[in-house]
Amino acid sequence: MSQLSEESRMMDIQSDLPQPRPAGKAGGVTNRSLVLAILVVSVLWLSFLASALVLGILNPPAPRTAVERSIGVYGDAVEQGTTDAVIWADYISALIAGKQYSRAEGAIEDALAAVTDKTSLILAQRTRLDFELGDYESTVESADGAIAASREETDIMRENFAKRGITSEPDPSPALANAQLLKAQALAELMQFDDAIEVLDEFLETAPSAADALVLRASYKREAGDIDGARADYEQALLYIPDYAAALEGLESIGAID
Amino acid sequence: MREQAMNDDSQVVSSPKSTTRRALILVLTALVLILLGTSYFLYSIIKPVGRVATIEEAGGLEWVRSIYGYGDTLEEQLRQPNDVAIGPDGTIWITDQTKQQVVGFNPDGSFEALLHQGPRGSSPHAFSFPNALAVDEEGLIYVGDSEKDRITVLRRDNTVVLEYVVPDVRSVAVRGDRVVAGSIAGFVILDKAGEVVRLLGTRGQGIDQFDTVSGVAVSPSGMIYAVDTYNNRLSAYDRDGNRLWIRQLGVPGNQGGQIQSEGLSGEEGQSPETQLPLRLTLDGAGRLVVVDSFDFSITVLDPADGHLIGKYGAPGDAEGQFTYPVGIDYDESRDWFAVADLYNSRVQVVRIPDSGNRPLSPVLRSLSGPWRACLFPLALLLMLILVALVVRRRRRSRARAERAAFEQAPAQE
Repeated sequence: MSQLSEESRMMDIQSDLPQPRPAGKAGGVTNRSLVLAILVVSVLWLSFLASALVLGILNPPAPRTAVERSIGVYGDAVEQGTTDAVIWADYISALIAGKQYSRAEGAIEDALAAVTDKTSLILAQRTRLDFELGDYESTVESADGAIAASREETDIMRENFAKRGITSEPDPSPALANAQLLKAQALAELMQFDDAIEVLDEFLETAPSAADALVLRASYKREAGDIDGARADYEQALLYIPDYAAALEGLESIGAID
Repeated sequence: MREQAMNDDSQVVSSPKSTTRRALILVLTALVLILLGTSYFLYSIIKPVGRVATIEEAGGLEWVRSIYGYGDTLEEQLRQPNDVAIGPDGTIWITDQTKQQVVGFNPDGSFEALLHQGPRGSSPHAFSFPNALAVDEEGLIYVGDSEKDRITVLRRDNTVVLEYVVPDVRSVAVRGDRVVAGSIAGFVILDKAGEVVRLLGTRGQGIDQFDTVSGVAVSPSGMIYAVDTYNNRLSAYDRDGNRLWIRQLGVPGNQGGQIQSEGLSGEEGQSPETQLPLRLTLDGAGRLVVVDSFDFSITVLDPADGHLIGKYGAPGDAEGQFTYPVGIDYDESRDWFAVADLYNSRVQVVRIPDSGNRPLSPVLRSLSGPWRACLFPLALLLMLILVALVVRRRRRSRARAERAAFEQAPAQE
């Protein structure tokens, strides 16, 4: 009798002591420890969510960046039914900068239905969206649309100037420059360097001191094997912005400076 | 035979257990995947939308947030913020020179208050060109107006408490019972009732002369620091206005070239440390921090002699970069600076290294950002670990005691 009770007591004590891991259990993981892990992870996660909600972290009370501000401000104007193409273009530009591409796509459609003039600004934003999405063939196509629309708008302005007796040339729409630069970059992505250079030639006719466009054209000339032309463009860019890092790097890349 | 039976038994018993284990492992894996997915989603919500400069692109600055306006209309956006001051509760007050108003924001960037006395010329107290700002320990707001030649003291409910006449006021600082105001020709030390304690300087380039004091600051010990913008100098004074040192920081009038110090401290022929020094503040480590408009940077200087310690900032319009920064103030409890970024039409909240005054400053910095959401779960985890350790220890000591009792029992028998 005493031997039996001694045995059972021994078993009780042994069950309380740390047990060796039984063979066959993967990494010694027991069901109890798994349940415990699930519980701990769930509780921690829920407490994290609760404190984030209570502290208002998930809902920033004010815009923190220019893009957030622009989406708020221009989005508000758009919701109120503005027909101002500049506001629509700024709104779409902010959406693209915020990488909200599907919203930008929708806003472009809405803008084209809402605005009655300066549609080139909206078409230039479509060009930018295509470029950001990496669809370079569509970029070239939409850039052509924006360039044509912006030239038409300039023609209309010229006629209006003439009617009012103003002899000076109207400023081209800012959409023209944006579309030309994006078209050139898209053509370069498609390895059509000669076409890209041609677009930039046209752009630089109206903006000959645009150092960034000169550097862009120089890099395409370099890719096309025209090293002398590239060098001339890099040097021209340095005339407008002395110590321009991109131009100096370009000259270094063609071995013109050490 | 007996062994075989045992093996068979264990297979029969272990099969449902291993099924449960597999199910639990699956649940745990699914749970972790869900957590990762929702974490990414939450991160995308918390992450600011737009182009934020990296610390390298921002010239060593750590960007916290920018403040652009107090509403969703264009009229409610800041236009030309030209000075900034942080109140004892962390409220960021901003003067907008072209809108003749002072706007207050909470540390999280939300709108707090709009202070003005009507459009320019509409009332005797209306601002004309508010371009200097300070807040005292009680939260009273001191607004310098260079067109009205005065400092207006306001409560945060927009009531005017007092007005001081200070001709051509360009800067203001308040600490304890002293108000210091910089002007074109020098600076004045006032008591809080507006009585002049001492007036220093005349306009010019001589050693005791000034050419636009755009920045003044008072240290906790009462030392006064003054930035002489167009002479490109920094000088320090005791609380009664006796000069302790003066240092040439750069070339007067931002004319380029090298310093000709002519009797001032500042090495002859050294490269300029500042181009157009404007406002200044003191950080938690007691260092002088000057905003340099033409260098698009903030410059940290030694309060003992004005020597350069470091420069932070880069030109640009990405968040964290500057286009003509003109105003600065420091929030000690959050260890951050608010910088008025004039031509980006915003105030940026930024941090620089070593500005805190406590060993736990890095922890405090983290807790003022989104990481504070982890504080409660972390405390909970620590508590769980503690409980688990205590339970384990008790079980082990109980087992040890029982084993000892068991080992002693046969000997007694």
